[in-house]
Amino acid sequence: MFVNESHMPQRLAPNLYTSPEHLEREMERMFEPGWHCIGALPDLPNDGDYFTRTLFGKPLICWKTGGEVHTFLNVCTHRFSMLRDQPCGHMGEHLKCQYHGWEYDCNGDTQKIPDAKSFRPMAKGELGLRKFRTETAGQLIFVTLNENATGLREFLGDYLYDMCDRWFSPDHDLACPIDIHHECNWKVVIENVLEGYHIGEVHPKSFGTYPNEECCRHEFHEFWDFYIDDYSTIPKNARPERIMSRIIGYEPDYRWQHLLRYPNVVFGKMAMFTWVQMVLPVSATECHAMWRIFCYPGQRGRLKSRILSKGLRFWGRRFMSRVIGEDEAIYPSIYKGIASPMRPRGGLISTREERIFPFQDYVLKMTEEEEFITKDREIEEERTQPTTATTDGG
Amino acid sequence: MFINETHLPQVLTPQDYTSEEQYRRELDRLFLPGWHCIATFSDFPQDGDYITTELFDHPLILWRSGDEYHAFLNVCPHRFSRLQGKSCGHAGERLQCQYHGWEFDCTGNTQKIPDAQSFKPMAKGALGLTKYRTETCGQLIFITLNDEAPSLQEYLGAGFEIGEKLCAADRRLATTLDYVIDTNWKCKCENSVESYHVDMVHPATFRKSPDANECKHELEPGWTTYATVQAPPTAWHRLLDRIVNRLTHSERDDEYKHYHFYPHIMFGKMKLFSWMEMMIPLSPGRTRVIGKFFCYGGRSGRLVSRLLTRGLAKWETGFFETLRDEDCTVLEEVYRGLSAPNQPSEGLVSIREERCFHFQKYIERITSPETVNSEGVAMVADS
Repeated sequence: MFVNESHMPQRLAPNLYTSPEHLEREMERMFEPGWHCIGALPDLPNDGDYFTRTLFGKPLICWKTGGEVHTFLNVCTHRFSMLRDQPCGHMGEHLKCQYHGWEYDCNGDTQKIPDAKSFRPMAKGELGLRKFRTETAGQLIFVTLNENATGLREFLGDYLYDMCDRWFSPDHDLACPIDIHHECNWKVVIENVLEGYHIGEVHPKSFGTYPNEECCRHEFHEFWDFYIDDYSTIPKNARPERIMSRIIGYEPDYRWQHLLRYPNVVFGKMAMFTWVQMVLPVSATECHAMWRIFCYPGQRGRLKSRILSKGLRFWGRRFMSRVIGEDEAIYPSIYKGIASPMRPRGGLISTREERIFPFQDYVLKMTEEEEFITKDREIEEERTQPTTATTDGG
Repeated sequence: MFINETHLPQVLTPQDYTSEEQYRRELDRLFLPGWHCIATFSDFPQDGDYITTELFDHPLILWRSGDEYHAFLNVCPHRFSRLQGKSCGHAGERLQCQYHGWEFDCTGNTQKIPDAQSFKPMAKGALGLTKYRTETCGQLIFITLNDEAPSLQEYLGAGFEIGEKLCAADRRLATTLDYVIDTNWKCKCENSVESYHVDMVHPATFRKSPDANECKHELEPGWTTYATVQAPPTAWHRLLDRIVNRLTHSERDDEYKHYHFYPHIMFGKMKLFSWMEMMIPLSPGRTRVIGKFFCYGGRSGRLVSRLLTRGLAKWETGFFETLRDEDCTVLEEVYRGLSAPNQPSEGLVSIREERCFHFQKYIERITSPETVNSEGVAMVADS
């Protein structure tokens, strides 16, 4: 059942999806203070491996050494070249700049400076890389650009943090990493994944149609929401999971679960698949989505698990790439409509899509923007006051 | 002969071509109130076909239902997705949104809402698409974003009859040229209304610009024309003309005539060919040009007409594509020159280019900052 009983209004004005000024506000108030998942431990299989990312325009390098993951600004302290520009690679003991071969240790301190004497006078440890706080939850690597941020556990909350430990445990294998660019405002992507109403039109082959209301449950918390689709009574969906759970050896729960930590960290679980989706704005009109999809093939080390892992990874990659591709194809078109200076009368969020309402509420509150009031009286009169109350649970 | 006897001044300043303010004024006073041709009947071969386009940032969808053409804002009233993203397609009896499958009828009212109960409470017919007026002129389909616009016939004035004749139903659409040039829309208009550049820009396509005494200009408030007689240059051309005229049962007609109906609609005719061209500004330095080119290959239904039409269409397409390419190159240079911080002089308009002067006067009159908006609109209607 849904929480609300009547439809709600669309509350964000077109310019909140298009204006660079608004994005700047979102950046300052919503994104910069928070934690962002920039990858997963399987992205760094060996000690000394690194990958580079751009987060909100800042070039970052994430490097594993001594079993720990460190994140630095990918800019050399010497004459500001990028340390590395490959998407990933192997460094060994020290992080070495590609330009003049300066070397850094895991604290970002300089270790070796070729022809160091020509830099005299320079005290030891005077120069170093800019380091960012990095933490992991399960196998997910999170980073914050904000020195004063609370810890990751506090940011996610106990429930989500512990859930990450379970959903992305060392027994989970990375099925596929997907990094994809979307030609739309980041909120279009978030609003899209918050509702299953579009399944019938956009994913008819992958998912069929949206589930019955009786199977759905929404929960709203201060910083996150929770959607559960209980399909235990639908044999078409429950049967495959029952069979797979017996083969793999885990307790089936017959639930599709989906969570959003506002504003942009999305978690999902479907049978033995779990995933994280980070939606990162690049500009007002473009965004980047990073997906890390995991599967659980059974306890690590068994031959059966290895064989199952191969099959699950193959299927997971195929299925998720298709679904993500179907959404990607339609985003620019949705965005052009939302960004249109003219709108027809309307703008409704159905109870089935009610997760969008608190998300928009969060955006408005954090950026202190005015709510978009439709000019059409007729609709306003028909509309009853929406329920904004939150429920406890989860 | 030309109407003026001495050269004329360049009326518009470079800023009138490059500034954002002037662009906004032109949009408000000239374009948003007016009518625009966005399609022809040939774009809708089947009942239920649609096309999508954009006019002044408004996403639009034009849909054929029966023999009627309905234009809507291409935005769904649900959560404002575009209804359709493809440039053309088939919708059938109802227009359906690609995102959540809402369906609309030809009045724009919602017909089917999947899982409608989750939208309670909602009165029937409470939501609908934003509809725009459409009208036709010959085979051309026009749309206006302005509910208070005069009828298309009133808007085009003398141009309506010309359009009906030159884009009549018995003509075949040879090609549509829909392209974007990095130039101001007025540069493109001025280029089209003067033949002075022909020798430099189109030496192979047009041979030579005609003598002054072979040219005839008409300068009316709100529109201008240019006519010249182009006799076949060689005996071979004369013979070809005679054969084609015989086959299509048409009279010999050597007149080339070009019409400019202010601000942005042009018609032209040359022998068995005719066309409509329209400029849509996208920004001060970007212009979308939509050209619809027609030819007449004789009464329909005959094999010889079909073959002839195909041949004429092919020749016409090649000819106008070459012209477009030649003009695009030079028009981008013109705009770069206009955008320079300094100009060598105030500029000069020859009597051969007097239609440019007339057009510039019109723009100056309607967009001068002193003219208030309502007057501007009124003046458009008058002309």
